[in-house]
Amino acid sequence: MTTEFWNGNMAAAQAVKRARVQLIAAYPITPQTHTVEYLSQFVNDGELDARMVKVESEHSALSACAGAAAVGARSFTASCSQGIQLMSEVMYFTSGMRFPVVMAIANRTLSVPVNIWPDHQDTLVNRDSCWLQIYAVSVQEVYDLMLMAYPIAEDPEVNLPLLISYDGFILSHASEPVVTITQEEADQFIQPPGQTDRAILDPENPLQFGEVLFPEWYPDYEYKKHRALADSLTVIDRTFRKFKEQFGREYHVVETEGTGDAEVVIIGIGSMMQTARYAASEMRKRGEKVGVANLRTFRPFPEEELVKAVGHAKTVLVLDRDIGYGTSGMVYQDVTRTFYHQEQRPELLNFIIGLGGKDITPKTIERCLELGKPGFTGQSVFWPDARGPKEGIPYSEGLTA
Amino acid sequence: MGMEKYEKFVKDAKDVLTYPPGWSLDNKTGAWRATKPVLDHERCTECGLCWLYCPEACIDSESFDIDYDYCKGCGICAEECRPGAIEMQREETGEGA
Amino acid sequence: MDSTSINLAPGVTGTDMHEVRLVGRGGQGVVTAGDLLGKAAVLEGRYAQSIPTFGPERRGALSQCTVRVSKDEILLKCSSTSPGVLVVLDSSIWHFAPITLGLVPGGRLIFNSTRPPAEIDAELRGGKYGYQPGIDDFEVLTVDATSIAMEILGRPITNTSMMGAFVGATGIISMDSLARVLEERFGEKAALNIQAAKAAAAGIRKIGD
Repeated sequence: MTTEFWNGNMAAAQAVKRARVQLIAAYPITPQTHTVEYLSQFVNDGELDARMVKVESEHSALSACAGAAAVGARSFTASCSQGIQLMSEVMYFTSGMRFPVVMAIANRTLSVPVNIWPDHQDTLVNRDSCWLQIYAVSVQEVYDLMLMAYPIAEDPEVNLPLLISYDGFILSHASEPVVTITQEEADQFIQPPGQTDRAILDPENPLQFGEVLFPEWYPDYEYKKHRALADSLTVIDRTFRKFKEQFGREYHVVETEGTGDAEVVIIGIGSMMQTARYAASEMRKRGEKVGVANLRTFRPFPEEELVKAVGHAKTVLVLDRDIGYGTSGMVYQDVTRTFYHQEQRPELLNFIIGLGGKDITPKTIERCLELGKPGFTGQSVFWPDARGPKEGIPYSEGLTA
Repeated sequence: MGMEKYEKFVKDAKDVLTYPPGWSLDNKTGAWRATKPVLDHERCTECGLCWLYCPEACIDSESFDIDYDYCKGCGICAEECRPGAIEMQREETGEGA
Repeated sequence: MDSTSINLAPGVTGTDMHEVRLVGRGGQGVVTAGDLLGKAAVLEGRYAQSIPTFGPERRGALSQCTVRVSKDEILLKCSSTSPGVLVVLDSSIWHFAPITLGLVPGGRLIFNSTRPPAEIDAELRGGKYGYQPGIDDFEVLTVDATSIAMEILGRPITNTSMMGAFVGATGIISMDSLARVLEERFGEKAALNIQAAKAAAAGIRKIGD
């Protein structure tokens, strides 16, 4: 165990090495590119016994990974932004085939206008591709979550693809101290690759894959897939606990701070939640009871844990670094659905912030808290970063009770 | 570098963001320059090699004056100049913007 | 400037955290400098963070990096908003950017320049480069890092010299730690880079020098 000073892409690559990945296929795109460059260096230097497959597109990259998974191998890819959109078709194929491929995403917004900076649009628009989506908030978390990725994805109860998301530049290119683990420790934690009970392509035991399924039975298959994703929460929780036992670092599907007596709880995903923790602790010093609930997993969506975390708070501010065009932020949609049937329903407000890499500073969070105070506009969705029609008043919209 | 104009384009965009022709003239890439070519007209033989080689078309074909608004300071002109009439000097004031 | 006589540069109010803004051009090693300074702080048992911000990569364009150093974990995941130290690696790029935005009182500004610090100080107080009225408590220092780099390394790559100047001017990390990370990073070439760092630390000019 040593402490290194790594950027997020390096942390991801080092964890992938520890997982003894057997096949890597990816296509370069800023800000993800380093991850695969580091891995190809590891392979070249003999530190990792994996096959690097050169591909002509992201669509082919994920196809190669899916093919490797089909024969039982452990495969890895990385992408972001337009790259994931080009992969999109294969993403649905991969989950439908129940292939536990793991992908690292250095979040970047979608064009156009052309922009290389982070927001969560790229992963969230693929929220319904039946991939597990886990969000890191620090470089240490990129490393730890990537170490846990294969144990979760390859668990016989899951067998679904999984992506680890970390904000482009803010985490992918930023360096922070990372407590590392040795290969021996990793081997105790991560099962060896290629040992699986799931159905694989094997000449000794021929099977047909990717069958047609007629309408009569299609819903049954879909329900199973849906349940596997929803129930993976149990496996994630179990893996988090096992990780804590072995390495001491604690993870929860919803990370809370100061929610116990909070009147206002801030909810969201990604690195901005660390800044939110900072802002909330500053607010507390001024006597405002603000708590933070960071959704570590967006898929599966941790409903029960979220309700528990919010407790008796009167107001919930949902920060979305994305926009479901024409409606609200995408995290907000799931949060509102979660609370609709609760007896005590907090006021639920949505803030669209940090699009296209607009920096999210403690001031941004404080501004959201200010706008969330009762009676500001009577509306539910705020765009504090966009310049509103009047100085100091942001765009707001959406129906409220 | 034309930030006010740029902001106006974004504000005024009715739907798609567009820029009018020639707007990149406002983007004075001279700001990228860390070293600056200075031509000594006494030693210049007006051979035109600098004009020919300049990848940014920053050298006038007749006067051989250098357009510091856009010269990025690559140094190719100084490298190619046979009589050694172009000297690369350290940029200290940022006059390029 | 002698390392025993320095006052520590200011941290963020109410914390022991230091926020440093590095400014330079793509290709000058701004990102590497941020990374190495953070690494040196980690070697000293502290928490550090280096967050570069740059556009689609272009040699010569403005490049910035935020370095934060603290004894505890740093939660902020954003670029510098209230730097106590500004390190400018390039002698001209800063004319085009509001590099001093958010500077906290007592801020220390270290420029790679042959110009006298008083001249730059006057320009800043005259309202240039993101200067905000009211924040008058800052100190301008200069060092001719380009000449030092040319003389010792034979190339105008100023990042190791400016890291040395940063150590000399702020004391946030020690020269020993910097030397260790330079050795780790540059191997055989480290000795010259360490020499450049030390020369720059010794070559800092204050107003009145």
